[in-house]
Amino acid sequence: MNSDQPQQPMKILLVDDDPAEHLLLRRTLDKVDGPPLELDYVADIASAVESVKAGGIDIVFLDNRLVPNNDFRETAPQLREAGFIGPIGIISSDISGSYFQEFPEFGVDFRIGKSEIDRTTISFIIAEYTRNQLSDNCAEDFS
Amino acid sequence: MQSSAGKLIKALYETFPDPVLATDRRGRITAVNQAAIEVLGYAEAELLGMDPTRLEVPGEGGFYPERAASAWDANEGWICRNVRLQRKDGSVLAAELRQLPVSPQDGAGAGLVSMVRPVSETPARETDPADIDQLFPSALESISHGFAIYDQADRLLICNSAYRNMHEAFKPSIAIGRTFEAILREAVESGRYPDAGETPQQREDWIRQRLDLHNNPIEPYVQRVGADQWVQIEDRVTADNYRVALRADVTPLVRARSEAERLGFILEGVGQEIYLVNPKERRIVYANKAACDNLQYSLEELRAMDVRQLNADYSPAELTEKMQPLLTGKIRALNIDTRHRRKDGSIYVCRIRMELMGGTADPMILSFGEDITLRIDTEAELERKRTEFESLVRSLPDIISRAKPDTTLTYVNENYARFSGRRPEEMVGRKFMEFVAPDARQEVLAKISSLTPEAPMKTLERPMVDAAGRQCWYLWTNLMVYEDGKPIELVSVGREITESHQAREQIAHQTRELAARNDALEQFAGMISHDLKAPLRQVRLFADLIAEDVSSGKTDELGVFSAHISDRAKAMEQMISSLLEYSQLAYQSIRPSTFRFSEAVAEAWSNLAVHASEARARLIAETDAELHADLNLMIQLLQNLFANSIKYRMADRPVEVRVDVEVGDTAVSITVADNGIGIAPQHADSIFGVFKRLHRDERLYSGSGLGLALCRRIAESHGGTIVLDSSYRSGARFVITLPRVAP
Repeated sequence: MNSDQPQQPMKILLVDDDPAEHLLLRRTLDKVDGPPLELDYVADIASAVESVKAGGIDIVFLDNRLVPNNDFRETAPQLREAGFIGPIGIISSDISGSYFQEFPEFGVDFRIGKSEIDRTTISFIIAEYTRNQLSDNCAEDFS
Repeated sequence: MQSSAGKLIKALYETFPDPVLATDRRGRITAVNQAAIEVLGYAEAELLGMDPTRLEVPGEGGFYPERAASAWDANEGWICRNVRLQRKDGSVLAAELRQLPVSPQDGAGAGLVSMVRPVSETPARETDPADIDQLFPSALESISHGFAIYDQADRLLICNSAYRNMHEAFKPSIAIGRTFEAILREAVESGRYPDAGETPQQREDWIRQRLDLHNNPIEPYVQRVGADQWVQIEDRVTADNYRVALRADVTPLVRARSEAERLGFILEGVGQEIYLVNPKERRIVYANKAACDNLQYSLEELRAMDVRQLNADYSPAELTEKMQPLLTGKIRALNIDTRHRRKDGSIYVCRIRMELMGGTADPMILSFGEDITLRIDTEAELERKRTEFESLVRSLPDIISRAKPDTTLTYVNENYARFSGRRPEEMVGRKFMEFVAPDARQEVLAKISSLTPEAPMKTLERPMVDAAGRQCWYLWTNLMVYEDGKPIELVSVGREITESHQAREQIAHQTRELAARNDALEQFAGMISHDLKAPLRQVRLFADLIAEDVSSGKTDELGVFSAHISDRAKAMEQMISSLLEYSQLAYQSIRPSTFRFSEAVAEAWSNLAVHASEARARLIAETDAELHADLNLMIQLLQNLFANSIKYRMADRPVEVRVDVEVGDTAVSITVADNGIGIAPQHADSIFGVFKRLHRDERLYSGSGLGLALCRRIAESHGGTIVLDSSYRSGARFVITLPRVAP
């Protein structure tokens, strides 16, 4: 491996039953500096489970309320049960509900209001959750 | 020795227990002792100067022995023989006659001293008169009483050991030849007499008094000679001025007398009246102070009265008859309540216990009397209070019972009896568990069993049904009374709390409902916040994107962004309209009326006619039931359910909606079933939430997510429920249950 090789893009999976959110996040990611980011989108948890099982997902942005499910307490554990070990962040228009305090118990790494999502926040999240994590390729380089 | 013996006899004969006669040479009696007077029955004057042969049984002789004349001269000592003498009353006295000639130098002149000892007291063995001198001291030693003789100069001639040892105070000073005064003074000076006084003058006075008694004896007296020793002193002075001192240790007697005096003090001091009555004479022998005080008589007055005169209740004859069983020994004690009459004529009630004191020739009745006037007053007061308490208990609205610890009823008040539909006497004797509903017995028993001396009282609320079948609530207070740690009585008081219980239940119900509404409101607010903020945020973001693209000259996505803004705005409009509709319907007061349910069904279906037609929907509702509810709300409820049935239909089959009504005794059950796509069982409850939608895609299933929430509000506002029948697999089936309300 050398520095000339093109950097593998970080793949983000957005799980939201509102397609407009996909469009909005895509435009936000376009403005983020740093390593290339790739956005995948699914509208329900079943598709999300399939995606993480397929592999290649580095981070998941999971909408809190996915119809017909109640909230993340039903959906986030399904991703963990599917074997996904990367960061999972809950996004929601309103994160004031008291049950959001319980997010670590359901395999969630962070929560963020949709109105807070901008390029700065995205950059910070990516830096925070990828700083000490080496990709498979990087791990091979050091072996 | 002969001289001493003569003196001794002379001194002794005064106190000698056997008759002693002294005769002179002429044969006339010159002196007799007291015993001679008593035994022979003559007065002293008759005996003095008498010829002693007159004492012989006629024809038997014997007072003078045949050799008497020579014997007198010969001074041969005691002459003893058995004779028969005749008393003054003619009776014959068999006696041993001992005679001793008296020499001229020993007395006033030659004579004879005769001692008469009744034969029965004559020693079995004849004593040689020659041994008498030795016998006397020996005989004196054998006497348990102290005995001493002082001569005319008051010097001690002889004394026995008992005299020496009679008391420790005297003993060290006693010596033959010492005068009585010398002995006494030494004993006093050495401080051996406790009562002699402290000062020399007191002691001197005491000695003088004592000497006076010694020289001029009157009668025996008792003197304390030690801390706990008493001696009876009896001094006598003989005709020839000899002093005979007799001492008897009377310590046990004095002690007994002290005990008796103490007992007497006790009897005098007790508050109870005590009488000792001679039943034969019907006289009071003794009455203590309490008796005298209460009767107002002195003891002397009481002793003079017939005891039956004191009784104010019974005549003397009646009292005698009443006491007969006691006097004849049929009963050991007799208790009677009677009244005594005081000296001033007043009467008091007393309780008498009489016991016959046997064991003596003259039996006595010991009576204990108690003035029970105060007790009777107290009992009357208690009875009055009991009556007042009874009246109070009767007037109380509470149920009151008393029972043994095993719950056997000993008392029930009128209210309890009335509640149970019985008379009080029918309940007493039965266990109150019989009057407790079977399903509550275990709880009641457990409550009673948990009572302890430390926690003897507990309360329990429980429902009860009265004799008329009325269901009511009672607050029971159970108090177990303990004595020495053992339960003796259970007192139970039940107070009806039906109204307060219902009010409390109502408040609890309202509190629960309020909490549920608060939860729902909080949830509702959360939903509003979430579902209204989401489209607003998107509108803002898409507007920002449009501005960005316009500024950068990009126009390819402007239409998409604009469409999103329009779409989000429409969604908000619909949401706000639905919320308004929800708030208008959900929180309005119901206006119930009685209507045919089929009317509501038809109206609801009619309102959806266009959609029903498009979906080729068919309604099956064959019911003629009547319902008492808010017609408009019922139409709205059915309309929402029908709308869902049409909306969530299977694409490949026409919609079929079936409505069934079942009218029960207390509730009306309405079932609305369709053949649509159905609802997964896990969403059976969440679908009734505000803005809850199971389908996001508006192109397939549009809606605000408020329809079923509104249905639940309408059902609940009628006091009913709506649930999804999760067992139904052919579509969706909702069951609405409403209380059956009479118009």
